[in-house]
Amino acid sequence: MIWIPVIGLALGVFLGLSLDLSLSLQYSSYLSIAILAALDTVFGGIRASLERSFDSSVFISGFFFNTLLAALLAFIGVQLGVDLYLAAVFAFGVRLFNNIAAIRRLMVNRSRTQTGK
Amino acid sequence: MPKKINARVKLTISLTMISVILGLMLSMQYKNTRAAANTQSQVTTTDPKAQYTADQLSRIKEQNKALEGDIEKLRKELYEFEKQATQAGNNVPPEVRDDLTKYKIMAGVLPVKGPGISFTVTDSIKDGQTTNLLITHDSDLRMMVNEMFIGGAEAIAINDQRITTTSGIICIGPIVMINGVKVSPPFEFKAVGQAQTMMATFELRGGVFDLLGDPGGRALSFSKPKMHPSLTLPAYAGDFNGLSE
Repeated sequence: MIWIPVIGLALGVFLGLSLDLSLSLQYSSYLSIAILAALDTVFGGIRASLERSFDSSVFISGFFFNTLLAALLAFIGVQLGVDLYLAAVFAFGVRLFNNIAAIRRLMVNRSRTQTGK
Repeated sequence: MPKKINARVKLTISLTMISVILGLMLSMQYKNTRAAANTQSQVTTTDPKAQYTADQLSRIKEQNKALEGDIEKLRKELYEFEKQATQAGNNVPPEVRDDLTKYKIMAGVLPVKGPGISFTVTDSIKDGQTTNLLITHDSDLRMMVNEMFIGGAEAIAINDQRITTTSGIICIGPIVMINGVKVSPPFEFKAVGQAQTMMATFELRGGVFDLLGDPGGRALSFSKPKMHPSLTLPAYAGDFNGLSE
């Protein structure tokens, strides 16, 4: 069951590489920040599922909302000459690490309780 | 229990969906970064305006190249017309026509074909010295060009950049600019002229090539000069500081 999302990821990469989809180079920075937001959401989702508090509508809306908001923030930053881009990188980066740390802790706890039994 | 299974299915479906999109984004970004790395002039920057300018710069450079090709073609046509005009028996004496050709060769606006020599020079591979001594400098190239002209060259090209009356050989950081075009080592010299005497300049003790190639000194790597019965040098395709022809 856990492999299906991984296969999905591989499928996405394959599609992206084989299809001739390309974004103008000048929007590349928006895409990178959107990717960071998306990664954060995915790890957040994994964490929520381990905590058994996963809600698919929250997850999906969070994915699109965070991704678009990050790109929008970067865009506004460029227009105003403020590096809001960095704020987004920082915020999502911290959250990403927090989520990964939480996942690790949950996994360790889970394996501990299982061996304890 | 069925409720739990339902939740798991939902989780898997949504996670898979998002994963596909994430994968798509990742691969697109990867392709973008690769494309940016492949084209040298294009700089990846987080600033879209800088990116836009870099894109434009590379586009203009390409346009310039195409336009230089046009200039070369038109010059050739002009030359043909001049030839026809003189052959048609206008009162242009043949000496004038020959002079015209001669000066055009000297100016570098005509491609040249004839006997000549070629060799390449590149940075020294010796170590244990300061890099400054080991790399091929613009001044070295100028010295070599002078030496070749003294040694009987009628026309010289370095990496297919013809040396003209207004050619500058200058240093811009790690590379050399000739005729406003960046060239980098190895530098391939082609010279049309008296091949025998040009070959002799390499043997000249204390000459430029002897000094630059001295294993105890600069030790620049020279390839063995080769004589060619027929060598073609391209014409210079840029403009002459605003001078019209």
